[in-house]
Amino acid sequence: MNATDLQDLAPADRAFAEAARTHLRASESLNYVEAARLAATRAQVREMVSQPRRAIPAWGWVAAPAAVAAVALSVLRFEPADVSPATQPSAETLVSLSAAVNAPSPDALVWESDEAGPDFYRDLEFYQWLQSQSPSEPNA
Amino acid sequence: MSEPASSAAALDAFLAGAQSRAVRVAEIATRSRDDAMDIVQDAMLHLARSYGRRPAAEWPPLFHRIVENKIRDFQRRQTVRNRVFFWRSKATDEHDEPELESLAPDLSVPDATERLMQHEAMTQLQLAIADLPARQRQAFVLRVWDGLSTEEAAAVMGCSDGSVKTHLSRALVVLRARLDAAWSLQI
Repeated sequence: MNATDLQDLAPADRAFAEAARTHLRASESLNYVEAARLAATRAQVREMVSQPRRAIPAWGWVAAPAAVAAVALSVLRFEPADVSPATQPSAETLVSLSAAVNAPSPDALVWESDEAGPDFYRDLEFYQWLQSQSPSEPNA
Repeated sequence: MSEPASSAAALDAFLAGAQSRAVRVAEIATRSRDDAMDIVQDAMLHLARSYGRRPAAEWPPLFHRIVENKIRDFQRRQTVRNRVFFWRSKATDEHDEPELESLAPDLSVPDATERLMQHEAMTQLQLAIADLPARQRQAFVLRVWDGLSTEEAAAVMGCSDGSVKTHLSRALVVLRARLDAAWSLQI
């Protein structure tokens, strides 16, 4: 830049500004390490800019708005489920349901035991009577 | 040459030409060479990432603005950090080992006497610029240091031409009051 760009300043200000510019521009220097650091950064910059941009595939322009619209519609159409208690069933319904539940199953297991039951005592009486009818029996 | 490759070469050339001044501007604002280097590196990557494919004519004002924004972010972080870690004195930093970069010789000024004079003047100028309010400092840097026109500086700063003139005028009044006497012995 030349000095003409400070022409709008007063002469004293312009003289001061030009002196300051001279000093400031003379101080623009980088040492070896700083120059190397900035050169490395510029290499990174070159790599960033020289890489081609990754374009969004054509189907993406359709799929993305469609997905957003689908989610928006599902949100707008959402209705909470009716959580009020159902009406009480009639007595007939309850009876029919309970009859089916309480009906004995043909496949139900029957409890069996070695304990003497009614048949045992009936058989015992018959046996004792039979013994009494046969005196040859030693235990009679 | 393909379009991205030519764009990369043009951006590289622009940054190579602007990096030294950007480091000095950031150094004066932050008073730290290391922080200035970090700021300029971040600004380079930011420019490439966000505006690398813009026309080359748009890069200078964008780079200026990015550097200025990063300087402002840095100063805000420093303010918060100084409030939180208020017990950390400056004295502890002064006893730290010097960075390797600060030991590298600066060979831009060959004559020792001239170098000493310039160093004194630069130190005073640097301190005075650093003490300016942010907008005045920005106007001074863009108009005087970078040599931008009032219109270009206004575009970078996002304000009117009149505001740039006002900020620059105030900056020059402050700087002249501080430096005229000292420079009269050295310039």
